[in-house]
Amino acid sequence: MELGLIALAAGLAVGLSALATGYAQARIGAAAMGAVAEKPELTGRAILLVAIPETLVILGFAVSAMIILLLGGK
Amino acid sequence: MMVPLTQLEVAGLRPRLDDALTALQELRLAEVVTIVDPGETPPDLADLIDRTDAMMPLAGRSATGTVLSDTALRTTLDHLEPQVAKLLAGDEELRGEAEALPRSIDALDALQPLVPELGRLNDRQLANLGLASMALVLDDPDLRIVPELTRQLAELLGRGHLMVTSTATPGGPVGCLLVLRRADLPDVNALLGTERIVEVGVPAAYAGKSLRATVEAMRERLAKLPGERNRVQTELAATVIPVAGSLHATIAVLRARAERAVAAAQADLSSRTFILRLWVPTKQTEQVERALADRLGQAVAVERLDTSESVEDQPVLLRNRPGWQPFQRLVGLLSWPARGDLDPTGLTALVLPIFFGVMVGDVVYGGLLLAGAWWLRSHWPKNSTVGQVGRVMALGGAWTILFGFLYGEALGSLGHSIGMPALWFYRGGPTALQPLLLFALAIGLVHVVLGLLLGVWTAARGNHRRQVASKAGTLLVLAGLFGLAGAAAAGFPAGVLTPAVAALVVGVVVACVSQGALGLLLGPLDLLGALGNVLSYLRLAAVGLASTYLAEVANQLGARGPLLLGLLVATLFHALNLALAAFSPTIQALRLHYVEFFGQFYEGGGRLFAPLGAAGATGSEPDSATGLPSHVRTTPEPVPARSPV
Repeated sequence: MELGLIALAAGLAVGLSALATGYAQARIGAAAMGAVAEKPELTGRAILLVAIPETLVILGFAVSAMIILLLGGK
Repeated sequence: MMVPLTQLEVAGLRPRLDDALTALQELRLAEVVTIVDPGETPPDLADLIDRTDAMMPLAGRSATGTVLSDTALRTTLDHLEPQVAKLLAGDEELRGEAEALPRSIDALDALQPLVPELGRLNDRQLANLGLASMALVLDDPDLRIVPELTRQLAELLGRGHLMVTSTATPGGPVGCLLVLRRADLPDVNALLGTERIVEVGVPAAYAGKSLRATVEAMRERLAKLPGERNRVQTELAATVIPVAGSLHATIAVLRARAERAVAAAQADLSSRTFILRLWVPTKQTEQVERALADRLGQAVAVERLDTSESVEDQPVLLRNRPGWQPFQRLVGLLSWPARGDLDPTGLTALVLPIFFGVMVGDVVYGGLLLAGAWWLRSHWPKNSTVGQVGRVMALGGAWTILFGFLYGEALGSLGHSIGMPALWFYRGGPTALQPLLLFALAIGLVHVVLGLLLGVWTAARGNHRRQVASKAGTLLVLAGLFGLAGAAAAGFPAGVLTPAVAALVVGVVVACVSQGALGLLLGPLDLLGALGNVLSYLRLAAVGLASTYLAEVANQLGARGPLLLGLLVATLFHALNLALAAFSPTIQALRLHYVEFFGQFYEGGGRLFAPLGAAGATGSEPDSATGLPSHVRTTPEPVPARSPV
C-alpha cells in the first residue's frame, strides 16, 4: 500500500509538471511559430523559448527521483 | 575562431570606381561599409534581373553560352516571354483539368446506377420527349446547397422535374442529374445563376451527351492529359534551352553589376573622386592593397583606419575547421557572435555530441546512427545541409557507442540480458538512478562552471567590472554549495566545511553587491538561476532513462507471442525509439548549450562578414570578369510569363 502511494506520488510529480510544461509550451510554441513565419532568422530563439518551460518537468523529475530514492528504498 | 578585421579607406578617381569594385569582387575579401546610402539596384537593372530570373527555372542547371548585352537580352526576353507565357498558361490549364476531372468522374459515375435508363439518353433523345437534362457537380461540404436547391426547384417547377444526387466520397463533390421540361430550362438556368451555388460545371466539351457517354468521354480525356502535358513541357524546353547558356552567363554578370551598383551607392562620391570604406581580414590587408594597386595603379590610395575602439555595425568573420561547420551553423541558429564575444563553435562541436552520447548510450543505436550518417554523407555533398546533419549524426553515433559500452546497453536491455558487461553501470538496474543523477549533475556543474569562467574572461576583456564580480560571486556560491553537498552526502573531509561556508557567504555578498542598488533582489535571483542551470542538466539522465525504458518495453513486448510477431513488434518499437533518440537528445543538447552554457558568457547579435563576390559565381561581360554575391540578389517578382492567361 505504502509503496503504491510512493509510486503514485512520484508519478504525480512528473505528470503534473509535464502538464504544466505542455501548457506553457503550447502557448509559447504558437507565438514562436507566428514569429518564425514572419522572421525565419528567429528560428534559434524560437527553439530556445519553446525549450525553456521544460525545466519545470525536469524539476518534477528531480522531485520524483528524490521521492523514489529517499522513500522507496526504506 | 573569430578572424580579426581591419577597416580600410580607399580613395581614387571616380571614373575608376567600377574598376576598383571589380577587383574587389574578384578578390572576395572586402565588405563595403555604407558611408552615404545603403544603396539599391538601379530599376532598369533590377527589371532585367527579375525578367531573366523568371526564365532560370526553365533553363536547366548547367549550360555554357555567351554573355548578352542589355539590348540583346531585352530582345531575347521580349521574344521568349509571350511564347513561354502561352505555354505555361496551357500547362496550367491542363494541370487544372487533370485535377478537376477525377472529381467530376467520381461524382457523375455514382449517379449511373441510380438512373440507368435516363443515363443512356442523350440531349437529342430527351428533346424528342420534350425533356432536357442537366448534369452538375456541386461543392457542398456542409450539405446545405443541395437541400436549398431542391427547395428552390420545387417552388419553381412544382412536381415537373426529377433531381437525383449522389456523392462518391463523404464531404466530396455531389453529382447531380436534373431532368426537367425543356420549356423550364431558361428559368432553371437563371436560378442556378442567381443562387449561391458553387457549381463545378461539367465542361462544355461534354454538353449534349448522355450521362454514360459523358463519363466515358471524361475518362478518355483524363487518360490523354499526361501526354498533352509532356508535349507542352517539351515545347517549353525547346523554346528556352537554345538560349539557356546565354541566360546563365548573363544573369551572373547582371548580378555582379547590381552588386557593384549597390556598393558604388555606399561610397562617398564627389565630382572627380570616390572614397570607399572596406572591412577586410587583417591578415589579407596587404593582398587587398596590392590587388587595388595592380588594377588602378596611381589612381588609388589606401589607408588603414584605427578600429581598436568599438566600431558600429562591425561584421564578424568566423573561420573554423571544416568538420566544425555544422556546429557553426547551430551557433548561428541562435545568433552570430558579436565583436568581443568568444566564438563557441569549437566547444559546441566538442560537447554537443558527448551530451548526445550520454543520453542515448546504446551500442546498436549508435551503430545504426553511424550507418545512417555514412549513408547521408555518401549521397549528399559534404557542405549541403543534409551532409552536415550526417556529420553531427556521425559524431553523436560514435559517442553513443562509447557510452553504450559504459552502460552495457545494446538495443536497451538486450545486451545486458545476453551477458554484455557494463563498463560503468547499467542504467536499467535498480540502483542506477542515483549514479545517473549524480553523473548528470556533475556534467552540469562542469559545463556551467566552464561557461562562468568564460564569462569572467569575456567580461574582464571588455572591462565590465560588475559582470566580472557577479560571475565570480556565482562561481564562489557554486563551489561552496558543491563543498557542502559533498560534506553532507559524499563523505568529504570535515575540513572542507569551513571553506565551503566561507565561499558561499562571500559569493552571495559579492553577487549581491555587483548588482548595485537592487542587489538584494537581483543577486539571489541570479544565484538561483545558476543553481537552476545546473539542475537543468538532469534532463541528460531523464531523456536517457526514457530511451532505456522504451527499449526495455520493445524487448519485453517482443518476447511475448510468436517469434515472427515478436520480432516485428520489437523492431517497430526500437525503430520508434531510434527516431526519438535521433531527434529529442539533439534538441535537449542544443537547449543546454543555448540556455545554460551560452547564457553565462555569450551576447550574440553579430552580423556575418559578407564580402563582395561572396557567392563565388562569376560571369564574363564582353570586357571583364566579375563575381556574384548572393546578398544583393533582388527578389524576383512574378512576371506575366508565369501567370495563367
